[in-house]
Amino acid sequence: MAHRILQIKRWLFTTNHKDVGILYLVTSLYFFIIAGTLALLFRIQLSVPENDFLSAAKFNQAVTNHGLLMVFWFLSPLAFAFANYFVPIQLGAKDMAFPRLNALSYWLLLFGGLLVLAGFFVPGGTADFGWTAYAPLNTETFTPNPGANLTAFGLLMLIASVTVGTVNFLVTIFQLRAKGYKFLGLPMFTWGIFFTVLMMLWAFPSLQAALTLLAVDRILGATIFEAPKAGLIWDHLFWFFGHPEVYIVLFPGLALALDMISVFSRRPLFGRKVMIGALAAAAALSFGVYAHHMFMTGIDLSYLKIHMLTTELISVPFGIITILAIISMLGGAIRLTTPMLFAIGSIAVFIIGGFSGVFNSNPVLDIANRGSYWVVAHFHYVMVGAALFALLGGLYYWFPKMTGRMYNETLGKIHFIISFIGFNLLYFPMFFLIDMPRRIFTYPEWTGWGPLNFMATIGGFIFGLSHLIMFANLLYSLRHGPLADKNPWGAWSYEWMIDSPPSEFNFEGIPIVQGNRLTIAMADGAVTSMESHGNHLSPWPLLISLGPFLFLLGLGLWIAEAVFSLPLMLVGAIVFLYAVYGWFRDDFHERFKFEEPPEYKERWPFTNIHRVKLGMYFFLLGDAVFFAGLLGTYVFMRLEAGNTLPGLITHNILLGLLAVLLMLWSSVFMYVAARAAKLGNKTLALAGISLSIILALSYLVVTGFDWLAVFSAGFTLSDPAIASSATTALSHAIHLIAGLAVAAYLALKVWIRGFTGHVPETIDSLSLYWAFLAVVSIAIFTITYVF
Amino acid sequence: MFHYPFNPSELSETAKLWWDLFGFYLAVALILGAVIYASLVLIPVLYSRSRKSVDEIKPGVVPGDRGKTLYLAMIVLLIIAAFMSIFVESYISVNKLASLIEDEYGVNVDNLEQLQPGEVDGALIIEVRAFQWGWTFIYPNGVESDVLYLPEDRLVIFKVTSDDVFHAFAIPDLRVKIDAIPGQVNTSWTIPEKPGTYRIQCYELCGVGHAEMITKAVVLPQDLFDFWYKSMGEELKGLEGKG
Repeated sequence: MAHRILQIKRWLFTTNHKDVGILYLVTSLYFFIIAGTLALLFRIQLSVPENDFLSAAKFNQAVTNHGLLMVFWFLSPLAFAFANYFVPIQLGAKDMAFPRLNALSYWLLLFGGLLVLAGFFVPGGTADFGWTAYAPLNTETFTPNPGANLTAFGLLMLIASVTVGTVNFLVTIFQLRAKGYKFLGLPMFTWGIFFTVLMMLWAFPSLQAALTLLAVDRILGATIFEAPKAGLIWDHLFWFFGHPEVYIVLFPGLALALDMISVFSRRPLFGRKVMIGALAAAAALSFGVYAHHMFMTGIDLSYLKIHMLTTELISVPFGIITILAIISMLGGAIRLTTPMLFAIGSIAVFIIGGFSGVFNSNPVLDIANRGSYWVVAHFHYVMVGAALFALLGGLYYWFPKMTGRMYNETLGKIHFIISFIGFNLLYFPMFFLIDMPRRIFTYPEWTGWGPLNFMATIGGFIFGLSHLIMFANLLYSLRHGPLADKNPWGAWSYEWMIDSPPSEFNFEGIPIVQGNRLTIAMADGAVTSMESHGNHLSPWPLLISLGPFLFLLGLGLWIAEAVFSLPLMLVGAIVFLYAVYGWFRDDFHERFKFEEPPEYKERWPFTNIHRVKLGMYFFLLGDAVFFAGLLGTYVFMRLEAGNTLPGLITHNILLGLLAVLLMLWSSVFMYVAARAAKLGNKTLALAGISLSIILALSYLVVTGFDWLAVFSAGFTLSDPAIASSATTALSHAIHLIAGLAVAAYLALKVWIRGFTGHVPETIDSLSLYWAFLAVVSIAIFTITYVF
Repeated sequence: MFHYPFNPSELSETAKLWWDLFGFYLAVALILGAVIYASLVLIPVLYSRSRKSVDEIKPGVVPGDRGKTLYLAMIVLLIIAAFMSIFVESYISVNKLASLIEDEYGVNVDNLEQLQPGEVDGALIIEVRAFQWGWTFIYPNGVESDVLYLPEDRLVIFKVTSDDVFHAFAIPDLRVKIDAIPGQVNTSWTIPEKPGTYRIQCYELCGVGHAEMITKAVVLPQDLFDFWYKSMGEELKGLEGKG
């Protein structure tokens, strides 16, 4: 009994990257089953013309949530399950750079997904505007469904999860490589995750900006997205995120397929460096192609031509990767194991997905393709085919490592063959349905779309049910499979040099890379003392995510006028505040110490930057996109959305200037505090932080006063320019308030305990954050006050 | 897709342009795809049976480079060449879409939305209003209809807008499609070339009625269209006169 309670505690409070990886894996497969069931439901509806299995409203909800759950809560989390488990090991690290933040990003993901699911149970239905949520359909006027609010909240929690995870992975990859491990020697999978998180860093803040504006619309009663042409700004924000998102889903799988191809043909990849370069090029280009989703929106033709060029250009790196992957198998001794079959299958469907993508690069061809089943076929070939097949291959590939047992090879191969046939039967007919619009819940018989749809539905059931073979195989093998040894595939990277399953800290010694040789140097004192580094369990990541979950659930129910909503919000707020207090308290007593000695790590090119500060740099690089999105929306509203007044008239410009000056001085004093902390001058540091806090508070007061004046002058949130600039100011204020909480805590800690632990580095990072907020306040002033 | 007993590219000028371009893309895709697929299938089949004991992957050793720079460069250049051919062709096609009517009718495609009826000889300008859930087509003489009547062999310019949410106006067989966005006028054009009845449908999710946002476009021979247009116009005038 005690053992079982200990087990439950382990899974709830774990911060170990392998445990978190398993949690990700189980969660993603859970959402896979739900989203897959939704897909089968609407495939039944579409199987014959004029069917009435699902109503239009239910169909739209099923389609919307199928898309959201599959993309955000299945494909990416499945990739990140492997990333959590194996990237640190492949680097030669004992855990992620920030283990507690790693657990936090898992719990935020889980609770975000549960919020989306909760939307189904709210009376009035959940989101039904498609996963792209085009404005103004997504506003309360056109989608009053209260569940849609929960969907938006769930997505915001997901973005929080992604932001935390992104920063964590970047710092881990940059600073926790084994001593001597050069970047170019890393396995392709780690490279794929590296580019994936880089894309996440810049893509998700754009969605965050769009959703924040939407939340202001839906909760505070603004009408930003109902302004004339406002649908276009949603398009821009969404697709600036949306196109990189496709590669975010694809990259981990594609890179993993390359690793598997190399291992199972017993040959190094052909042109490995060129492939890495191609991944980098595709990642960079992915931000410049998104307008091909907007060819028919009537935006400027020359803009479309540029995006036509870049979209076609992006086929070059992907073409290079595909062809080099095939050539890599030449001259090998290929073993067609289950993972290898899935890797080859992934490349096979990626070729079709890629070629059909080139067709979508052209505005003329898009006349037929846009919004049709051709597009559905295309992106399922890329996201489901290429990404999912490779990731399922990864599940078989790493199963012996994660569980210590082998799966049944024959059943694995049967799973591959059936799912491959089912997949193609499901999606290939859709290329011929190029005339059929997406997301229609039914179609008349005279269109002649019936037989192809019927074929697709049959394929859908074959594909969907084929995964039961995998579940059965893996669940049975988990207990009864033959024991696997360390390296069943004869692969080369670090995870295959340690036990299956790995021990808590992965390596029994110090991983060191000499030339091109991965070694594990035998333990000396520094490493065995790892275990004595305190508790690896922390309840705060769970509670700090549970709080907002309860609060947002309550808020969504409150808008839906359901019972128990206010107590739920209250409990959520209390849990959140208590968890934040708990986290601070743990930090105060330095209870959670986990750091590998930096002298055993390769940290190039950030050798001398502390990990907290490096994380802060990455976070701010992403956050800049968020504010750019909000300010861009304001500019768009001023230029396009009818009669809006310039900030010069609505705002008191002198008050604005005063606020900016306060913020600038606040940032200067925070910098002084950071320098003083580095030199160990306690008095000066405390004075700096206190002054900085006071000035930042006066900034908030002055800005708040200015906004009160704006609203009392009769301006309301129904003016889209006012609403978007208010959203920007509010987001900035929330950033500042969060920073103030940390600043106040740090001042307290310095006062009582002096400069222990990482306090000087944390103050240094905070001063960086403060400088960023000062720059943002200048940008807010110059754009929303003057323009 | 091919449910017509005749060549789908003969239905309109824009359909012709589309099918020509689609054919080019398809040809490139099929040729390259055949080569790539052949190697993707043949290489694993051949080399999984080979008795050679190749084993260049050693546990704990970062695999070296197999870079044969010359071959690599050739592959990269080949892919770039394929890309260039696609790009040049699509660039030409996009310009062709504009120049087709610029040359024949002297219309400047950059500001089609400002075009007024009567400004271009022989062109018919139809205002399309999308709403939840249906279409209204407004002709220059004030006639409003929920079925679209079009003349054969005449330039038709659609000025498309929406009353509420995003829609997408499309006559798929004639290869006409453009988004209908509230607060904005988008334009699209075609020259229908075969009398008949075609499906008009919304191609952007616009709420629960999305699937039923279907109506028809009827392409009439010139004289029949003129008869319909005039008689409807006179009927409208008669109504106004009485009112």
